[in-house]
Amino acid sequence: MLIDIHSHLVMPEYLEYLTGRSSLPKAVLRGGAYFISCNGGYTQTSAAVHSDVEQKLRDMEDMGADLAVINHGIPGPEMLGGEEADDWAARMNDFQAGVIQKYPGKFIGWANIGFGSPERSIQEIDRCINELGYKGVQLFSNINQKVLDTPEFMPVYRHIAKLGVPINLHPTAPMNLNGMDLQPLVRGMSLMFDSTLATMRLVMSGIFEEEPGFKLIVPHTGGWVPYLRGRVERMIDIYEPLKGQPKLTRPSAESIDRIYVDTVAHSPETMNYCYEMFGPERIMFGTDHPFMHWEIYRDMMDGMNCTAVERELIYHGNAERLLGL
Amino acid sequence: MRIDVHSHLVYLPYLEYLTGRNSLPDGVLRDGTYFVSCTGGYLHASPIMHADVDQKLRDMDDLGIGMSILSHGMPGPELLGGQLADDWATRINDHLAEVIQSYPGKFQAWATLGWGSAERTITEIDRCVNQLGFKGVYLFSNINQKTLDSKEFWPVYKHIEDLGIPMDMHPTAPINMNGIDHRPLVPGMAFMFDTTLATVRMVMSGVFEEYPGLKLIVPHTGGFVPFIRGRVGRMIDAWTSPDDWANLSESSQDSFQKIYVDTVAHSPEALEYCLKVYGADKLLYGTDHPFAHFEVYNEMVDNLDCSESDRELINHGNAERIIGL
Repeated sequence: MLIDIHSHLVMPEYLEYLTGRSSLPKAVLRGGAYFISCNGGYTQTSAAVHSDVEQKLRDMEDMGADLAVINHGIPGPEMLGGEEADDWAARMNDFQAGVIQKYPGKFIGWANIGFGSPERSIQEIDRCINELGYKGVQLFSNINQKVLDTPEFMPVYRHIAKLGVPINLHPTAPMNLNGMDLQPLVRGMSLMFDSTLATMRLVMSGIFEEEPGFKLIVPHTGGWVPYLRGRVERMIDIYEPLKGQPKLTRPSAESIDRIYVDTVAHSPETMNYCYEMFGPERIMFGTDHPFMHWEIYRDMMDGMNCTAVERELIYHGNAERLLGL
Repeated sequence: MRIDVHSHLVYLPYLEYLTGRNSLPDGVLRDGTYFVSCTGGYLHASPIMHADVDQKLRDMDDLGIGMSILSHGMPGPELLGGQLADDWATRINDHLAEVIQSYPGKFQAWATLGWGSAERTITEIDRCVNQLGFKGVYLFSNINQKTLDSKEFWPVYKHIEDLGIPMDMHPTAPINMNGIDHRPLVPGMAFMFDTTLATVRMVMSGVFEEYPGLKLIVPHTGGFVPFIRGRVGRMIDAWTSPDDWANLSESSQDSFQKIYVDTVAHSPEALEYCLKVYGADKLLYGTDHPFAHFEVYNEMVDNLDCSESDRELINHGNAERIIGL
């Protein structure tokens, strides 16, 4: 059994809608691909394959994945802001639910959040979990260029934590793009920086301490969190918080120890590093399908030096436990 | 015996000079600390004790450091731009040379560069190496918000290669600061990202292929370079460069593998990781003295899982070989 927890499927109607807009986010369709200009100067490319369920099923078969937990990915609905954001989040969730229903047993979904208002976001999460059968929530690394620990978003995280469902963090149009005008630096560096920064800010916000049920998956072997954590932890632990920010009552390492990572690994060495640091219970198989290099992670994990039991945890056991499958 | 390749000593007349300026960089002296506003929105704090050589000597004694390679650190003279930058670089280097002379055998220095013009920068490097006896140059992670791969800097790299001396990189006022308003995130994240981005851009630019003799030390266990090199390297290798960029003739991993790192480590795990990825002959002992936590690295190096002869390399042998002490 193999579960891919990091698999993208875009909704063509949403991209089409974006082509009609005259302010950001807006899209153009060129040569079969949508180029979406996002806030913050970032452009996302969505090729036709990004909405091709049949191709995804074939690729899943090739790599031996039985089940994929799909999310819409960039561009998220929250980029629209206001009611529109919440409206499109609901449509995306309906779209994903339709795909899940059409291919029984092959997919589940991460719920999209609009963040137009905390109330509607919470209502939509409830609808996804209680009515559409979703098992977790997708959270972008910033909400329309606002940092994740902005006070208005905190009630949403508390609600998710109380529901006991996990949050799957994912990079979006990054807050920092200076000096990253070249393609490899955008996905290679700035997206990783954004999810790392988001994680550290969530740690500093105290949400992990406040909500024991707060479960966060940080993709791409945790961005740089596993490598960097000691340095930032030392600095967080001696620091006097800004006005309005809580002081952690426990060492920040205890919050960071609670994150989960996926296997969209920078390299086999980083994967091993995560394995030694977090243990096999906190690693979940993911591929970033259909983005470039999605096919290398199965081999990387097959080649990892761990026990067969641990590999089963990474391939499906942890996802089953965390998502309650 | 340990040689500390990462030890800061500021030049008070320079900080004093900055307090008289009314454009960036400018400083104020408050309660014994110079606060210097830099280009890019960064504020650097230099307590007067950062110029205290006697305190440094006592701390070196405590830590078993026989020699420190001094650098001025932030704020660098290059922040001034133009002739002023080159003038102050000269004064800072004269100050470092005086300190070296006053305490025979205790100090060496990284040459400070002004970058006001490539010609004067080269002249100053020659003066530092031939007249002041310096053994390497200091390279900030950006030159006044310009990325290090800018072609205008290449003649300087060529000259440094010709001289056969190493470059010690160090963060400066970072290019990317969005969402980095909390203290721990500035040195904890923004600095690390700046040196990482600088290194990755240098790799992409082909400067290590053009000047294969270049020796670059990336501080703080390489920023994130050792962790991210797999992901960003795959993307660089799959990428077709724009017209004004060269395609690398070898895998980017060949360039990444050439860097050295110092032991101002995020964590014991990060240091072990560097040992595995780079080998003992690429690690150099450093402390970031007199900044917070300079005392924690001895234990990390002492506990590193390596042979005693490898530990000797890390503590001093590599510095002696690379810097030519």
